[in-house]
Amino acid sequence: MRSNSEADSAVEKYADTVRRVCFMHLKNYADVEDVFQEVFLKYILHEDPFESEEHEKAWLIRVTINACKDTFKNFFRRNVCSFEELEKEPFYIQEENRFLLESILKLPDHYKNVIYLFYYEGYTAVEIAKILNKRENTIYTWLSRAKSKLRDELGGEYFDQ
Amino acid sequence: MINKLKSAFDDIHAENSLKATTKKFLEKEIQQRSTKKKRIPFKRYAIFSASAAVLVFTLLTYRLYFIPSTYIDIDVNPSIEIVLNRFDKVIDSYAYNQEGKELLKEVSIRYKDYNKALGILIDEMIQGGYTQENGLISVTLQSNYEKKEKKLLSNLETTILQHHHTAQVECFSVNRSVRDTAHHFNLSPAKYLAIQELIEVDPTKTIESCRNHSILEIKEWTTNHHNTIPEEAVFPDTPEAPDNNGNNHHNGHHH
Repeated sequence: MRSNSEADSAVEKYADTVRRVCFMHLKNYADVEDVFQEVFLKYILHEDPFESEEHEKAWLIRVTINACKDTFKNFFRRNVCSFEELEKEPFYIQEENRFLLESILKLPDHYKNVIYLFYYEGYTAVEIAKILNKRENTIYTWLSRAKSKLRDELGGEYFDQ
Repeated sequence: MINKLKSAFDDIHAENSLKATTKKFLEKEIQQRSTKKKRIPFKRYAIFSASAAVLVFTLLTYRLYFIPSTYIDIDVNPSIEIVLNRFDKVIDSYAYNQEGKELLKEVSIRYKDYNKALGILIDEMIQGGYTQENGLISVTLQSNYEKKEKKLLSNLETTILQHHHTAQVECFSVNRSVRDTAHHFNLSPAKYLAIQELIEVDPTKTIESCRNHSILEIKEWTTNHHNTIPEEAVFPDTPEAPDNNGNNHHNGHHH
């Protein structure tokens, strides 16, 4: 089991990443808190050393996505995120980003994941396939469909800018 | 588009309160789990001790289960011995002759209660045509527990008659030396004793010459010899024939 200082350091380092994944999947702050605790608890109990920081980060993203999925599977928590919910998020979102985030949140979960991992985290399709435990071709298909849906939602001009 | 996406996601940060709550939760978990971990050696010791005790108990029971305590020999013409443990379950069986071997191949009596096993054997003997309507079934018993003998003998006879109503049943106990001597000649104790009786009245007979005959035949020869020799010549001093099986219990009944 990892120490207190290791736990604190991991929270400081990866809290934003975990929060972004939670943002895409969860609308309830209590669920976010639960997922945070579950993910970082798994982290401190994970005794095998990570090969690198990248490995550590990818591991945390995968665990967070799975934890969110598990939360979502819960019948009483099954909800669809909406822009109204976005309004309730405690952090400040710039006006020009709201429209884009709202459109992303409307995407199916697996599309949200690939958009976030590909465009924001900068992972390749091969790396995303490993994180999501899917075939590389599946990731390419998802990426293409997600982009297409996003383009439809945002409008071609906005998307291509 | 990439820049817009980056900018949008950059707006999302983990709230300080969320980080603080998570850290506090982790601190508590680490503390609790460390305390639990310290107790593990004792827990492991307890689990190990309990497992060892269960293992020893199992081994002892296993050993105890396979210690022979009673030997039942059934002789029709198939001659068979079944060995019981102290719980009266069949732990082994043995055939004295070819018919016995063939019979044992047909049945499964291992680990069965002795009454059930005996029933199975009798049924198989009837089906195999080894015993006739008034056929003789000789059963001898040798047990390490004398107190049990009487009860077992009574149960054996009842079981046999339940399966073969018209049989002539002869049940008696023998002592160990008789069983050992009979075993030495590869005979059931009942047949060995029957041959000994015949040899007494007809010294020309030997164990080898009688081995392959049924007890009923051997007994008939003995009876025929008794009938041809004057009684006083056979038993000059005593009015009744001596019991040469060396035992007090004799449950022999003829039906």
